[in-house]
Amino acid sequence: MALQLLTIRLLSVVSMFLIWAVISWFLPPMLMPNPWVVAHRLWQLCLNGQFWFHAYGTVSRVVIGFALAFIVSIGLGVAMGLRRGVAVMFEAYVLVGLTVPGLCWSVLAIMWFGITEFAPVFAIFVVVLPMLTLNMWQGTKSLDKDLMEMSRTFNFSRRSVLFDVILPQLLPFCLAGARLGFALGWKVVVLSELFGLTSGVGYMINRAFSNYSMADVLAWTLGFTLIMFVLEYVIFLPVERSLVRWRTAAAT
Amino acid sequence: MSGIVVEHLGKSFVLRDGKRFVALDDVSLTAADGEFCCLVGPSGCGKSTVLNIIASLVTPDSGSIRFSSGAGKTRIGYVFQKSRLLPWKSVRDNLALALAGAGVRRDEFASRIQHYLAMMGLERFAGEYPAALSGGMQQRVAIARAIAIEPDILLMDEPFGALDEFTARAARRHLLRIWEETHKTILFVTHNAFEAAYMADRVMLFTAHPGRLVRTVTVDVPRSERAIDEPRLLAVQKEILATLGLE
Ligand SMILES: Nc1ncnc2c1ncn2[C@@H]1O[C@H](COP(=O)(O)OP(=O)(O)OP(=O)(O)O)[C@@H](O)[C@H]1O
Ligand SMILES: [Mg+2]
Repeated sequence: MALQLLTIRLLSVVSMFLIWAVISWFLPPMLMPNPWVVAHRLWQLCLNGQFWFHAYGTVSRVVIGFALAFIVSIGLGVAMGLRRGVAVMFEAYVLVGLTVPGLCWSVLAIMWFGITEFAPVFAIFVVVLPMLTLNMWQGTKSLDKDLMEMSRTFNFSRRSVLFDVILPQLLPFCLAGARLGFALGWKVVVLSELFGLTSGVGYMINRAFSNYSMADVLAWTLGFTLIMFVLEYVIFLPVERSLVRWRTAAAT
Repeated sequence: MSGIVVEHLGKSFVLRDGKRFVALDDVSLTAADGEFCCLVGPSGCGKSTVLNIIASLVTPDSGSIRFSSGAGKTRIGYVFQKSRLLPWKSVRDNLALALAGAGVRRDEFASRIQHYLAMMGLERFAGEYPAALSGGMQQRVAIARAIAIEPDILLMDEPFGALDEFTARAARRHLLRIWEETHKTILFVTHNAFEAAYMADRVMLFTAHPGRLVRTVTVDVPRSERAIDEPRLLAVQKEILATLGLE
């Protein structure tokens, strides 16, 4: 079974490259270079260090902006789920935040804060926060009332209610939020980099665009996609597995 | 140890269509210190609500509860209608959390948990997650948790309802033995008229819509003479069923 799934997973990745290869067959290399050309370009960028330098800049901005939003969203979302008043107070903020496009925040951040490291972090924070808050709010509303009553009857300490009863129920929501938040953060950061910064993957893609180098544009995109894959398989999936261990207890 | 005095409880719920629903109408009952009381009645007559009010999970609209335990806080052990274990904690940790809540000293945890799990025949499963246990076993863990804190009052809401007849019989004998050793005050909810007659000192009969306590039957059969084919117990069972209009 595990082997079968692995085969399918491989097939899914290989098929993406195949589709790409077939399309590049019919189009001139200026519009769609084939995967080998792009992979080779990415390899060169890795060797001369450019890729690592700019990817580091981009990833660190996303991580900081996301981490700040994540911490705030847990406090805010849980408070909204537990207290009706807090929910009514911040409901409108969340809705407005969800509606304003990331592009607007990227532009605003650069107009306010100039070409600084703070601008992209701020933009990511503001764009990701409403989505994460909504997620934690939903999670808190779905807390099991029966278990809360049980913890009261057996006199659990506040600390224990939080760590042993509430947080384990919120962890799946945290994980889903982290995945979505990261994906969203990456979309926002390249915009900021494209508009105003002088480093980062977005900046380099913009430069490649000015030179009209399709191979470069795709090489940077491919490189960043690979980083996202690594994050998924090295961080998110293992965390998810360890979270649901108790659910699969019966099977093992 | 503690007795319970419940006076003139009233509780109604507002349903989603806006209508008021009277769950309890002027319910008064007492349980003496160390008494085994059964609450019997049809579904929806407010049995769980009575227990929830005693456990202060639900506030009544009117009426009062008093415990006769004298000084200090009355410690209540509750076996809920569903087991309500934390699925992400092992059986051992589920008990440990309840012990911590009851202020038991940490170095006593291991021996207490071992003792009460063994009592329920579950000592081999201490390290398992609840998902690895059958429904009946989970219910026994919930019973072990409620007894392990050595409460003054034990509230049990159809604890054996999910068990098959074999396991239920063993569990009943078990509970009676524990009760005879410790003489806790027990309020025990059941649908099963014979179970009530077999277990209780007194049986309180409820009817639904609105939830009322209609009658209390004293089971005047000494413990040593309570067999499952004892005619006097069968007579009590009959009386219960007749009062509830089932025979
Ligand atoms: N939170 C609630 N909101 C609305 N109605 C409720 C609520 N809790 C209980 N009720 C109503 O009160 C009545 C009594 O409920 P309760 O759970 O005490 O019944 P019960 O005697 O324990 O029934 P069962 O034997 O089926 O468990 C039910 O009709 C139920 O619909
Ligand atoms: Mg009930």
